[in-house]
Amino acid sequence: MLAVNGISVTYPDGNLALDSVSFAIGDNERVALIGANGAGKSTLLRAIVGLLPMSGEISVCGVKLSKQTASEIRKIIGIVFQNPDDQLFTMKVRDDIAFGPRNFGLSDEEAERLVDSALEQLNAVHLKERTPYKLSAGEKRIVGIAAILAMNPKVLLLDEPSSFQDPRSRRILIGTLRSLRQAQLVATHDLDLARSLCSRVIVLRDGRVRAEGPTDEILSDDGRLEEYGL
Amino acid sequence: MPKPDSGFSGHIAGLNALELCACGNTFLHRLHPFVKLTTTIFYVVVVLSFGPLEIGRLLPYFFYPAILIPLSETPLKILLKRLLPALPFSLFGGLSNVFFNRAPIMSIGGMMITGGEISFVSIMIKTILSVSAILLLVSTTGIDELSRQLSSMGIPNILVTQLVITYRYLSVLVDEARSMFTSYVLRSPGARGVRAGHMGFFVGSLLLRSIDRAERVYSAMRCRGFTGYYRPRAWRRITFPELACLGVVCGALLLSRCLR
Ligand SMILES: Nc1ncnc2c1ncn2[C@@H]1O[C@H](COP(=O)(O)OP(=O)(O)O)[C@@H](O)[C@H]1O
Ligand SMILES: [Mg+2]
Repeated sequence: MLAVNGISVTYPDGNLALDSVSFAIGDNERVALIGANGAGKSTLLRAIVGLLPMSGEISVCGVKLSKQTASEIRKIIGIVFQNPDDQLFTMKVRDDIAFGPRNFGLSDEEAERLVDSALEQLNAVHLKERTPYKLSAGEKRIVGIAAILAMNPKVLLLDEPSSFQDPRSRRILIGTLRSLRQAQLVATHDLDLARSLCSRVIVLRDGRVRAEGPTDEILSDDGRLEEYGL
Repeated sequence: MPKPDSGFSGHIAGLNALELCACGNTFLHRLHPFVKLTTTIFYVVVVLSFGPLEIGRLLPYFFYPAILIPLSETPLKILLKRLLPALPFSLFGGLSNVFFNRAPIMSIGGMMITGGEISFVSIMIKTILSVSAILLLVSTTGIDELSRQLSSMGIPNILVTQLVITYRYLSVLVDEARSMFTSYVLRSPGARGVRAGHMGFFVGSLLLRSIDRAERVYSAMRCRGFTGYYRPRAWRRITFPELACLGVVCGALLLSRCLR
C-alpha cells in the first residue's frame, strides 16, 4: 500500500533530519512510528505527502510521488497535523470538512454528503454547525480527522494524535481510530497509544529506523526503549 | 507549543464578526472591489505620508471612517474589537520616541510638550486611521473577494495567499505575542514591559513564530487539495459612475495632502 524507500531529508540549515529511511505498510494495517522528540517523526510524515524536498522514493497504491503526482498522492494519503488549530480555519465545522472535497472539484451537494458521512463515522454529527475555534481539544481532534476522512483517503497519517487530549478524549480517540478501515501510520511518543492501537511499530531515532517489529515484542524491552530515548 | 484552548477564541470570533459584515447589502458593499481597494490604498498612503509633527493636518482624515462606518452599517463595537490588537505594536514604537526625543517643541499652559510626545500621538493616530480604513475595506468586501481582486490585478498568487493566511491568523499572532510577553515578564523581575534592549529579539522571534505558523497552516491547506490559486471570478465591469466616484475621492485625497 505505502512503500517508503531510502528517503533522506536535509533541512536548509544543514540538519540531516532523515537518513535513508525505508519501510512499508500493508492494506488496513495500523503502524506506530515511535521516537523521542526530534527523532524525525513529523519530518517523515511531511515528506510522505511531498511537503519537503527529499531524496529517495515513495509510492502509494502504485503511484510514485513526484511534483506532478503530489496532488494525486494527497488524495490517497490524508495527513492529520499535530495541532488542530493549524488545520481548522473556517467559521463552521461543516465548511472546514468540506474544504478538501470542494478543492478536489466536487459539487456542493456531493461535498455535503461526504461531510455528513465523515461526521457519522466519528459519531460527531452534533458538531456540524459549531465553530471550530470554540470546540474542546478532543472535539477539535475529531473534527480534524473528519476533515481528512471526507476526502476518502486510503492511508491516514496522524502526527501525535494524543497530544492536548485528556484521558477521556484520548480513550474516545483510540476507539475512533480503531474503528476506521484505512491503513494508518501514527507518529507518537505515547507508548500506551501505540500499544492499544497498532500491531507493529517502527522506532525512529536521530532520523534513522532503529528497530521494527510487532508492538508487544519491541515495547516490552525496557532496556532497548531506554536506548532509543523513550 | 501553542495551546489549543488559550483563549483566543474571542479574537477569532471578533474577526469572524467583521467578516460576516461583508455579507451586508449597502451601497458600499455593492461597489466594485477595485474602487474600494484603490481608494483604501490611496487613503492609507496619504495618511502615512504626513510628518511626525503634523498632528493638526491628520485630524481631518477622521472624516473618512466617520462617514464610512454609518454608510457601511458596520457596528462600531466590532470594528473597535479588531482595531485594539493593532495598537500595542505602534504603542511600543511610539513610546520609544517619547524617551529618545525630548526636545521641547511648544508649551501648553506652562506644560512643556516634547517632540517625542507629539510624534507618539501622531503614530497612534496614523495607526488608528489606516487600520480602520483597512478593516472597513474588509467589512464591506470580504477577504475572499479582496484576494480575488488582488490576483486579478496581477499580484502574485503566493503573496495573495500569504496575505489571506496572515489575515486569518492575525489573532493567532496577537495570541503568540501575548504568551511570549507573559513568559518574558514572569522571568524578568521588576520589568513591566519588554526592555528596549530586548525589543529586537522579541519582535524577531514573534515574526519567526508567526511565519512558522503560517507555513504550517498553508501546508495543511495544500494537503487538502488547495492549489494556492484563487480563481479570479469574473466580476462585472466597473461602471462609469463608479470610476467617476473613484476619481473624485482619490482627487480629493490628493488635494487635501497638497493643500497647506
Ligand atoms: N523547519 C525546520 N528547519 C530545520 N530543522 C528542523 C525543522 N523542523 C524540524 N527540524 C529538525 O529536524 C529534526 C526532526 O524534527 P521532527 O521531525 O519535528 O521530530 P519529531 O516530530 O520526531 O519530534 C529535529 O532535529 C528538528 O530540530
Ligand atoms: Mg513532531
